[in-house]
Amino acid sequence: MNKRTLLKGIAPALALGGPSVLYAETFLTPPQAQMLLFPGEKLSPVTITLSSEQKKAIASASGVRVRSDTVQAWKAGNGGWLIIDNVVGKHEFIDFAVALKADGSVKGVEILTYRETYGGEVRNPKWRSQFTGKTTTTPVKIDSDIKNISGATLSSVHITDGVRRLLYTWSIVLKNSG
Amino acid sequence: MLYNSPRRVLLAAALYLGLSTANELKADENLFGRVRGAETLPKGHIDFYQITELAEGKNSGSFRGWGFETELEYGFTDQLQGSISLINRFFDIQGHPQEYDDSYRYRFGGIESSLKYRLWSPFKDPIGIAFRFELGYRPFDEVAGLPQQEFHAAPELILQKNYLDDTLITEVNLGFQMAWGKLPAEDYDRELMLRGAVGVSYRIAPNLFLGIEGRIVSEFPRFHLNDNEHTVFFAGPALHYGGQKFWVTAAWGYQFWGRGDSDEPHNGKTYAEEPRNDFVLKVGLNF
Repeated sequence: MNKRTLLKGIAPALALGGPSVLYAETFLTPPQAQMLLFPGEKLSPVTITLSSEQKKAIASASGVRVRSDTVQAWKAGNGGWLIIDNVVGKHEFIDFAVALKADGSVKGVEILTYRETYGGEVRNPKWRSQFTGKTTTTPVKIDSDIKNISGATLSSVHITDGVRRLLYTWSIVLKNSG
Repeated sequence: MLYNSPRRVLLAAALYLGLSTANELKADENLFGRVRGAETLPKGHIDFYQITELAEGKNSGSFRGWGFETELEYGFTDQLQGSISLINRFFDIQGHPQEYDDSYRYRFGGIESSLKYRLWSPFKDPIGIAFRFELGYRPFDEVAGLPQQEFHAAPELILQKNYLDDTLITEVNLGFQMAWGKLPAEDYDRELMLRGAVGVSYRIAPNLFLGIEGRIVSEFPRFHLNDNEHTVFFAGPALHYGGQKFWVTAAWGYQFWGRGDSDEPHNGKTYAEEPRNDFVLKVGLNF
């Protein structure tokens, strides 16, 4: 799966309405992330635009800045959610996917694209598995309940912050939507 | 015109040999020309740097002091990195600025080595803190290529505070340099240099940072703090591009203020050992 791609997966990405990435280190396309996180399930895309009040509420609760008004989400038949988002890397954005169960706990986290020189260790399954089961009642913070990856600190911190922000996005917005 | 051909040959030779230098601050993926950050290389990684600097302009005549530094940096651990660099210089002095002899000459600038230890990370701790220690040897001075046998030691404290998801970065450096063997380039053997630098940079687009930096340098002959030879303040913009495999930083420092005890009054500027403009171009390759 580790391969440099040019528009690889753009068709399925467009089909899912997800982000398309050109000339990037793409490890997973959105459909591939869906298959990994919700195997055999059919997801329905849900377009959500955050109001300024919702953005403020999410930022206040999570302690993380909300940069985008749009949430790219898909809802599973069992009430689970797939959210594809990005966080700031040292030079570029890191695209990642978070799967949530119907109760809002983390089912899994996958890294879709990573374009940085260092810090690719965040793709390590063991590190990502720390997020499984996390909810808004857990800290989801580096050096608290999530271990830092030495040498990949910026990526570790930003992805952890990103997951926490999406947990509160579910709690404040998605939980009560469609 | 008389020197055009040999000038080109010497300059090309200097560049080809990977020559080098910045006389003060350098290393890591730099957002600035003269200010260092508190990050360190991950364990086992190597960075290669080529730094080109141009000290340009005096109160009269034409002065160009080129520096070329080739540096290798290695991450011993995620918190400790070391570097070694080779420095070469080229001087093009015409019209006797500051009473220097007109010259067009290459000088071996010396060799430097440093260790940098990061105590706190700027990404997860309240503030990034690193300590750096440099040792160096310079057979010719960096001002005009005059002979000397300088050995120097330079400890430095590096602070870094990031904001807005690490897209707004501030860096502060405080340090000093003790040098021995300044004769005959200077009138004395020992010299103490105090220096401080501040930089602020913002990621204006993916891969691209635009910032401003300032630095103040003060030198004291014979380590006597009551005998200030000169003090100077430079400031200017810095543009940084960071890619996956390489980065480039271009910076310009303008001498806004200076005072020197051997200078004629020059409207608040000092030119005996400092230029009017300080240009820096850095290219880094990541391995």
